[in-house]
Amino acid sequence: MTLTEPPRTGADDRAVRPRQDALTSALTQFDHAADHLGLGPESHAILRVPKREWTVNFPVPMDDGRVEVVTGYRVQHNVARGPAKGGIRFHPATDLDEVRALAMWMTWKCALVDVPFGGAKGGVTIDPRALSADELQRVTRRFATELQGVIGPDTDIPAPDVGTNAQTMAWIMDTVSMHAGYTVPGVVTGKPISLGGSAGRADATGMGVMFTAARALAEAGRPLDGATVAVQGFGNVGEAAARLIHEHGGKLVAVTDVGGGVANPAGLDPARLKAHLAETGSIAGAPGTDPIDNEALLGLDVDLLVLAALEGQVTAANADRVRARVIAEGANGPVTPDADPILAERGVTTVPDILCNAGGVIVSYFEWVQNLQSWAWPAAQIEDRLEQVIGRAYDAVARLRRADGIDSRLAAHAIAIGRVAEAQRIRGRYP
Amino acid sequence: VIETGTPPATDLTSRPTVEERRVIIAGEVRTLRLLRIGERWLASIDTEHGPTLGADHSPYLAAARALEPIGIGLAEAMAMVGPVRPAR
Repeated sequence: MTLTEPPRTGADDRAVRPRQDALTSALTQFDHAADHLGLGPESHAILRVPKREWTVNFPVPMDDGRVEVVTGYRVQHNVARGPAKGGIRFHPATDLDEVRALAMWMTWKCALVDVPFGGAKGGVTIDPRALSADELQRVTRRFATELQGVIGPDTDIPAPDVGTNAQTMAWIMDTVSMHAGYTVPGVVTGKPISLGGSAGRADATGMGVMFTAARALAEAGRPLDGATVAVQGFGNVGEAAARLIHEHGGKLVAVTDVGGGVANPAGLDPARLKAHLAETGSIAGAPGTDPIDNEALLGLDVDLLVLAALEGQVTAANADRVRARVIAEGANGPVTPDADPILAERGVTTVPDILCNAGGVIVSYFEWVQNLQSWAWPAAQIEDRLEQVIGRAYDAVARLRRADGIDSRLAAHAIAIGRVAEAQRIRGRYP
Repeated sequence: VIETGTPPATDLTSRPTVEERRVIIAGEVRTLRLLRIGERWLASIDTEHGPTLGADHSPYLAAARALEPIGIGLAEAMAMVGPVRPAR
């Protein structure tokens, strides 16, 4: 991107409906899985709360001469399995509780796919679209400075998230490197390739969505090739997922973003939608399409529904209208816990977020390893290894789901929490 | 609140729950034993070096510890346990 462009987002960060409480969802899921595991009281108490939290307030000079005080957060939920890992989001509604929830989900996600990281998340309460590129750079560099001693390649490794991108990571890397006196590429992942970023990182989350959705469809007796697909959200995740699903024979019939939605039962071409988005700022009104809103999209009779917007999109209030066979959670927490039993009763299979959208952190892990080794892997190797790692996690979840007669979300959380609890126990208590 | 100090004594007069699972490891059918005593579980499987032992509040984690010495990962061990009976 150029410095004049606003950052591209991870998921489509423009909420299509008021969010549900992410922390309540995360804790409900944790308690449910801990009960299923029979987790002991000590492990339960340790894992239910973040290990470390930072709230920072810092002044930022604006282009018009004003100085604004900006608030940012970094939460490390757990580091028993390795350095903390998790994105930094810039969003006007970000608060500490949301960051706590997202950090907890990162712990489970890293454990589920078995990469040697703990979980963290960061957030800055700003609207990146309302800031100039210079203002964004000043916010980013000052936030990175406030986190001096917190983030680092061996301690806590940020990545892009909602409202941040490769450029943001480059600014963080440069700021940390300036303070260190030498270049520290491993302090962040999701960097531009010219600064040590990994091939395949931009599409990684969407690719993971495609791989896991294809497996879930196959389990349901419906190959991805020829499956009908609706996608909510057309940010980095939704766009990549839609494009890759289309390339693998899926028939994209509806897509929505904040500006509206488009549908065509004969099929949509994601490349044309992307071009229309670049031209107009939304996919709405793309040539050869009919309009559709989010509620209608959620109720479409399709094989696969990809939820790649924000959390809290399918709730107890609208879950009974979902007619898709499989839901792929490209975003974090798009289905609330109270909606899960309703979907299960309707025979809808959900690929849970900590599995479905783990492609991003898996390739982030690959990037971190490449940085530590000063070695760049080719794109084909990244794709093969991503499919291998996320496929292994999918199979583990499916095996436990079938063995225990539970849903995929519970199985995924139980495996992840079990791994973290076991790491915590083996390390022992200090002092 | 995390419990500290001496744990309460296990009620040994309660009837223990014993469960067995037939599991296939390296093509061989073997028996994973799960024993519930009070609030805790013991898991064990016979090996050529003698029986292994895992103990935890969680039957899944107890089994994972019992199976780890023979190279079974946690996720696979959890699936071998399957549903467990509630406490009597």
